Amino acid sequence: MTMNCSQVQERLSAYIDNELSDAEHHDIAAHLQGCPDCKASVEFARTLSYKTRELADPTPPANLWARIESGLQEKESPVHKISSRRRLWHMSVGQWALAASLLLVAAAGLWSYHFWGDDHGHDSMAASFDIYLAKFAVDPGEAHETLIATYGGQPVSPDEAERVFGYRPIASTGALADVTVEQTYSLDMPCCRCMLSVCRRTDGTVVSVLEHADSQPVWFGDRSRIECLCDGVPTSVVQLNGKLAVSWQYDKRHITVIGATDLEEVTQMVAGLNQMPNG
Amino acid sequence: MERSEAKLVSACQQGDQCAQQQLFDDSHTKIYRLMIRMVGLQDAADVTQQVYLQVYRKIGQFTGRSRLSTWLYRVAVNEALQYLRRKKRTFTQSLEYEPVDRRACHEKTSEQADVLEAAFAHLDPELRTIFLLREVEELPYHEIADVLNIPEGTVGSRLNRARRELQELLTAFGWGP
Repeated sequence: MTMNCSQVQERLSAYIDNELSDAEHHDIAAHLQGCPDCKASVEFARTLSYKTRELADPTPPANLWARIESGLQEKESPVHKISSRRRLWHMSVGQWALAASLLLVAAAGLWSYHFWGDDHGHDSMAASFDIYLAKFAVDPGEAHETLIATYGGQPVSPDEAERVFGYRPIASTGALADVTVEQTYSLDMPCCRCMLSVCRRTDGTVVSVLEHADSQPVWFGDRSRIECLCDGVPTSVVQLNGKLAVSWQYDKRHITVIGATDLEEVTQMVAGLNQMPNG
Repeated sequence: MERSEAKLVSACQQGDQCAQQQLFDDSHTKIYRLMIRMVGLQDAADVTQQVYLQVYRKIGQFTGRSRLSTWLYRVAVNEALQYLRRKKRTFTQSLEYEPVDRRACHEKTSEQADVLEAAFAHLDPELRTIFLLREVEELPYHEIADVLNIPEGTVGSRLNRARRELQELLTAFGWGP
């Protein structure tokens, strides 16, 4: 069969990739003999193919399996105990969005009608934080959006925060080195009213600081927790896909930092606060 | 499914960590290579990590109807495309459009490989995926169709488009083979 240029162009990739029948392959080869344009297309595609296969393949990082193993342990630890929570890890992005919407509805109902008891509130909060911490490791921006939407977060200036909470956000006091506050929010959570400061380090990475009246161990759920002393202060540490979530008491409030790089950074933060006038 | 592969999958489904590591050892070089070209070197390790966490979470859903390698590519491609969509959403929210003269932008790029990588980065992610599955992973059309869950007949037409758009990008970047 004689083919025209349009028919050949439609089958060009299949021709180059040897995915045609012998008869079709033969017909195209015959067309190329007398068509410099189609022949040039084939030659370009073959060169492209050759150059692509020539590209160097960088070696995977040596610690890749260790990182995955750590992620597996983090997610598989005592989470089995609560089957509904375990299912959260298996949800698709669409289901995450749906879950966030449901939590928003649940939280709105909670605050509008004071219908739920403390246990329900804490379960809901534990689930919200489970999602928040899991999301933070992948996409901090989206994690914050969800948390702020779930708990009716309102942006507040340091002065407004001081009026509402009785203290200024620690991240705005300069106590945390190399960290700039992008925005502080007031969150209405079932446990308490809480201050969230979304901050950025000089290298562009995100770290968030939550300040609240009482200790909130429920936020870390069933994740394995390490208790240690940072600058002499008892600190709870949880691993999050290569980052840390930590919590300690400072004066009359509790500080929870999500996204710390390592214990050295945490110790610097705790020490920075200890050096504050009322620390 | 081969017997050894079936045993490996079954062990992974039961949460056997040795089997999980075996699956990683057998496949991660290819998956990491694909992720480098899909999301870039800087984010490839993070996305590969997410791919395997997803693989171990979803391995219970693997029925053996396709090859294990095909299923792994499917999980990896979905994870990379989701990552790129999230990244694009964040990027477009934070940056205003700034026209760029592509030719000027790449004037200093002398290495053909660099220009080729830059062209991949500018190619639509769906087209980039199909091109890489063919040219880097060397999958046949029926397997590409299985990975992407599209009819086999569509593979050729999408590859035509990918190659055409790459040619346009490379010409704009001043690439001479």
